Amino acid sequence: MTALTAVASYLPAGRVPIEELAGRLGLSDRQVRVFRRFHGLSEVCRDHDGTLFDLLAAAVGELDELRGREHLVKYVLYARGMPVAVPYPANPLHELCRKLGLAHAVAFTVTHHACATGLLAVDIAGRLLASDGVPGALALVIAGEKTFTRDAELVPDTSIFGEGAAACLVSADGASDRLLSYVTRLRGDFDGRLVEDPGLAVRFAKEYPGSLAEVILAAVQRAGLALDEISLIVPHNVNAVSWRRLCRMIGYPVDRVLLDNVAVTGHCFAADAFLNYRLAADRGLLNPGDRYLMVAAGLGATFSAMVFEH
Amino acid sequence: MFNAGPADLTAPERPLRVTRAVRRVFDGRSDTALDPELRIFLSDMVRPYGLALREDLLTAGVGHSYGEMAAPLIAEATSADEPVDVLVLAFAMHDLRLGRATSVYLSNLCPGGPMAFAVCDQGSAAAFTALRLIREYSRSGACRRALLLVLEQSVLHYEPAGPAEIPARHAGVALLCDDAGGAALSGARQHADVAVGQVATLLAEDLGALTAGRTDVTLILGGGLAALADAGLAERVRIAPEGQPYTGVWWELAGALDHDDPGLTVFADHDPNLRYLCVSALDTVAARQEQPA
Repeated sequence: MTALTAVASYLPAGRVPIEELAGRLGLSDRQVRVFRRFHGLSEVCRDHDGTLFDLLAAAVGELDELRGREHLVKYVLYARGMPVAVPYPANPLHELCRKLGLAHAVAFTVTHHACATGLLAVDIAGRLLASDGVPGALALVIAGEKTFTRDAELVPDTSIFGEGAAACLVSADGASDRLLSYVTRLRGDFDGRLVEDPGLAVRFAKEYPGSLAEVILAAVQRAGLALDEISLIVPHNVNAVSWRRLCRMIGYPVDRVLLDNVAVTGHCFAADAFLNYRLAADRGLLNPGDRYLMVAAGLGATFSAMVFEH
Repeated sequence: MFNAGPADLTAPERPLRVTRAVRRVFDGRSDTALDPELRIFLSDMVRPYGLALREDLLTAGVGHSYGEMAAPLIAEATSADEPVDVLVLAFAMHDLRLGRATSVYLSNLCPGGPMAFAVCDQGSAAAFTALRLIREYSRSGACRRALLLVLEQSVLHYEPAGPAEIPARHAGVALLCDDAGGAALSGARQHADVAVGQVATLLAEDLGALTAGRTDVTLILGGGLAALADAGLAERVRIAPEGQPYTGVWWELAGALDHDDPGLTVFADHDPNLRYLCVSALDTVAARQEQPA
């Protein structure tokens, strides 16, 4: 059964108050106030001088469980939210593999699930390892992106992106954090740029909670559980208000959604769920046997939920 | 909605089959080539790398989008009464719709509204990985029918960030995979960190293992292996067309499948920059023998 063997996170020391971004992002004072008071965003992580390679390498550098086990890593998957992020054929993923002694691994990027791509990568990694059936084999999943252009900095009236990164070791038969279910709903009818199409933005905002609720409830059901058996939701950090709405819709206490990173990291693309898992584990919020949800949504649009058992 | 538990590998495995293959070269350009946002995004992306934009290409408004290229391939490869469960898009060089989750967009055009995603950053190996992932989803019972799309477009609006072959034309291949009929995937091997000097030996070893002494073998070599065309690896050897570094081997495979000749087709490619050697095999004979009477 697919399992998260280890999860590490990296948050750059740099923090930028959202007010400082207003000029470049064209945000009015009112929009900044809404982001801060309503959406719960305060500052975002920025690694001003670092490259994408630096960001990902720092996350893997925090993954102590990888040391001495590099030879067991058969696959390296980069879960990228932005479909295109570096000029062709620059390849930070393979650069990273060479530097880490992982050149023997099959490495590739999965994308197009936007900020839900991290969950997709875990599912794919588990399937590859299970099919191989090699005892002890591992996959390394990495996530994290640079805010290099406006579309990678801002979701209009919704969220501001941050530069955090995560690295996970996935196994096919681990004992901890076992994957019980994965549900994803694609909504290609939300194709388009929200900033250019106000009608699309309105429709997306209206249908977002119901679409995310649908995959959450389906994942819980697929895991053979009831929603009140879910001890924690490990969310994506799009904003706080959307989680409050969603929790009202599905009857889940919002204080069991770990939203503390929203205010201090911003929305770190496909890395959010892993960053928040690390925060939950470090705070002792996950006890043996706890069943929890990782939930993410992405523009384009994708809605995904995974149930794990800690 | 894609709804899965843990991968279930207890069921007896039925080989994945390729039942339909479509290939197409595309003329013209995408309207996106004239979108002012293209310049903004590209400028921001290349700036940290110190690369110059190709003003001539931006002014000319050339280049294509994978969404527009894939739409007719999907229309030709699928039918409304054959819902697709999984769609995987493989590419090496990006297209012009830089922010679009193209595979998700294509899911909306494809019968069945499949779970869809893209595989990239792996050069010519990405399409082999995509086919393998389709096999894994099929094997675990998560998918009955799947569509592989391999696409490349020929315009890069900036100086390349390193050595890489730029396609000479816009081309695409679609392979419809099913659990009955067609040609059975009888092998899929990927080797990482393979230097050019190691390729011939490793390919010969894989070929020997995959063909197991059979004589009805056709070997298709991608552009990265074209130098081995006369190495005597197989009696029948087909070479991918020049100018299609990422779709070429799949283009040739689609042509071979279209002939429907019985036999074993082994297809392979090597990416000299990322050092992957990929070798896969489709067996028409085995697929026919396994069909229910």
